[in-house]
Amino acid sequence: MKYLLPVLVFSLCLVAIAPAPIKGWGGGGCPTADPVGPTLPVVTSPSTPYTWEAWTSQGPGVWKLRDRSDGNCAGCYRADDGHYYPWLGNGVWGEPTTPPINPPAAPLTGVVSDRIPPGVRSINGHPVTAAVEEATLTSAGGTLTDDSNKPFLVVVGTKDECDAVENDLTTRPELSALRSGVLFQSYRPNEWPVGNLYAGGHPDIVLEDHSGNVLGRLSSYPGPDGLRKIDPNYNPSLDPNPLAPPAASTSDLTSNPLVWIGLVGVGVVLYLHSRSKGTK
Amino acid sequence: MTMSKLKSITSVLAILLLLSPLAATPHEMGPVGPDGREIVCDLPQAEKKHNVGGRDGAGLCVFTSIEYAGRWQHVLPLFDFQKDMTQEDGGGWPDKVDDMLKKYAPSVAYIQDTTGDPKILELALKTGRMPCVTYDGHDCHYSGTIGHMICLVYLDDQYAAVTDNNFPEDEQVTWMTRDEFLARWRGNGGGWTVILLSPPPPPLPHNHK
Repeated sequence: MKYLLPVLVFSLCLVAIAPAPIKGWGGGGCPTADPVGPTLPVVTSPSTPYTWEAWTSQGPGVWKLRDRSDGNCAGCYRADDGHYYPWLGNGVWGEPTTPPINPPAAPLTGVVSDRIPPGVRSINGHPVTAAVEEATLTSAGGTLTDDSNKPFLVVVGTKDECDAVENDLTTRPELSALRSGVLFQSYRPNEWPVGNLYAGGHPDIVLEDHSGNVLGRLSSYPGPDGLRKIDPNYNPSLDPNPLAPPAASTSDLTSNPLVWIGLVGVGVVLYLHSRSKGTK
Repeated sequence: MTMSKLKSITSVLAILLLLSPLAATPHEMGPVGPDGREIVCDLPQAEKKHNVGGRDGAGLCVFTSIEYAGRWQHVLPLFDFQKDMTQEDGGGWPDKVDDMLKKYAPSVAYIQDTTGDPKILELALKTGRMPCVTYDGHDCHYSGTIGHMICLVYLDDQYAAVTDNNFPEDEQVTWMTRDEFLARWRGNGGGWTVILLSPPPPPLPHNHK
């Protein structure tokens, strides 16, 4: 009976210094569950049969060691206590020991935070003010306009085939309206975004809206005149006629100061004429 | 009310209180998030490289993220940007991004913004572009504060999703609330984004209806 109090105090001390249990983890420091399930290979050691896998379901900094020769879990490493626990099977983890390969390093990052100047906006490396950025972003022809409703013009073929289309699209004046009205992309047939878009054309030229509706398809490049007809909104009557005389518009007239001087002169003459008639 | 009922209610409340912080913690969900939300920028796993170090061993997360965006938006000069950058020291900041893009991809058009204003992220995602954003950790992958750059692949008024070049597998896409994301974006002196201006890939085609 006289030993009861010291034993009780000693037990309480043991409880106090023992690490707080972590939910789902056994006494060996690793999950009590059998370490199977989806594998997420992160660090492979080519000269050994081992691969470290981030065991994210157990929290950050927990890794399991996979033996590639048999596919089984060999153990786990916890970055928070710096220990490796061998997996003994049947829900049992061994005492901390040295892992067969070096523990995985902490994930690399790479942002140098103290070299980020706050509140800076720039476009292509040139600093701009908020007002300029706003104007640039929202103006027509700006750099990041809301173009989410523009259709996609996609060319899929060899580099030469695609370059021919792209060169005309960027340089031929008769294609300028089409160019400004679409989001253009050029791909080789084996690239991932066009796996089901390519149909063996030379090149395939596809116009699709932002939801994927195919609005038009050409299986070869017919030249600029043919290309602009892929646009369902194409209207031949709106094409410029280089032989037609330029029509003077109202705005052209009103912007000419001579027109205004003439109109004022006519007004003055009419006024004087009406006054002279009145005095007679 | 009996004492046993009171105990039961207290227990349930205690469990709910304990669980609520867990429910809000960023966690891996893959390309489909809460309530069926789908990420906007679904770059195939084969296109996403793991972060590596530069010639001094420091990380290349900034340039790896920019390569992700380049692959998403089909900016050919950026397809090997990470490899190019292994010849340089690691670590990234806005001026260095300007210098390195000028050196390795001078034709690329891009925006950098360190204001922490999410409007530009929303516009980028609305138009299908993939913003590269700073990220200070504190999630299922990082227990503490880090200086990292990753790619934002979804953002609405409630939720956000990111793909991390240290954990690039599809199922490792990490979802969190909008506020949790904004705090991690702006944390540790961040609030920095790099956005390429080339258009996104075309949508999956289907016959015109």
